[in-house]
Amino acid sequence: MRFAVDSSVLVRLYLNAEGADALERFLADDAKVISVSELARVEVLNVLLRDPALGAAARFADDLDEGVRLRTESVDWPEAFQQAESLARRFSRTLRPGGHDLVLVAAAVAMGASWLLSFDRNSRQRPLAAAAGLHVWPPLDKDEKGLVRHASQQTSG
Amino acid sequence: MKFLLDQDVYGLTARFLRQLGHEVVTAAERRLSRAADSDLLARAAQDGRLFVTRDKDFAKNKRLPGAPRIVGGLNFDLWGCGVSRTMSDMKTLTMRDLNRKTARVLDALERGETFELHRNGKAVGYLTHTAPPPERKPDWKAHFEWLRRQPKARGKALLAEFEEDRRRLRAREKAMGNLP
Repeated sequence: MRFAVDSSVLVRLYLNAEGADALERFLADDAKVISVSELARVEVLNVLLRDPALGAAARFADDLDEGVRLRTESVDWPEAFQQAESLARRFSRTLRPGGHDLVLVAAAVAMGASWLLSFDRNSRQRPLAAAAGLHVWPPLDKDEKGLVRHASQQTSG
Repeated sequence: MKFLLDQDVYGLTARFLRQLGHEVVTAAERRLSRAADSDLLARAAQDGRLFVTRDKDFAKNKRLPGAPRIVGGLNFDLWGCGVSRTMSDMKTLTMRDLNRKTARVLDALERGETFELHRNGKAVGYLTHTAPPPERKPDWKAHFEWLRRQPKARGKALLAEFEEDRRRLRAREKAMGNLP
């Protein structure tokens, strides 16, 4: 199983802040390796490097180099953008995702992920990922499930 | 052995080399995805790593330092970069080879050879004599112990900055008519 990840999860993995406890429980079985795309890598470094003395950016880079907890997955970007367009054609009308949501979910699909981990409930990346056939963690709430159901009905109908 | 893998090398190859216990870094991990060929080789030489690429243009570029080594049958080339070592004589094997020459392949496996399996021109896995060492576990427990020792206030401040970045992104998307 491949776990693609949004930056909202990765920053919580390296900053002692809200959300880390839930992540710790999710990763407790020590069997999950997180796949990091070039997009997520840049987004996370862009945040962690704002306080280099904290050491979080260095730790993140070390973990990527080591490839045990985090693994850089090279995304085939031309394929990912094709996938993003396909998602837009299927779900733009019903889910109204942002461009970033489309690229993030398309990259996850292109890298062969079966899961998307994301704490970002304000964008449409979580319902979009579910509509695209990925498992989503933390689990979708009632509203998000409703959106996915609506999008799927409209697409199949 | 230490390797630097070019951008075009399959993730499967990286995982295979890591499973064999080699120390592998990729061009992306070293932020060299867009680096010139000469810079990649210079970096490999500087770090004492063997450079692995599937880019045939490397062999044509005579100005690059280090003599190219073609590893027996394998679909990538190696540059020594000052490190005088060669890999095993790994050979490629198609599904057709596997069907027709099963006994010979098994004999070769017993002798310790390793094969890269190809289907429709793409590497799909490996046949090898020795079982790869067990993959290292992520040990998330140790990671979260480290995390708990980090200053909470600074973590919270950076997370707030990240959330602010996302709020700006959302505002831009809303202005474009997305994200109701």
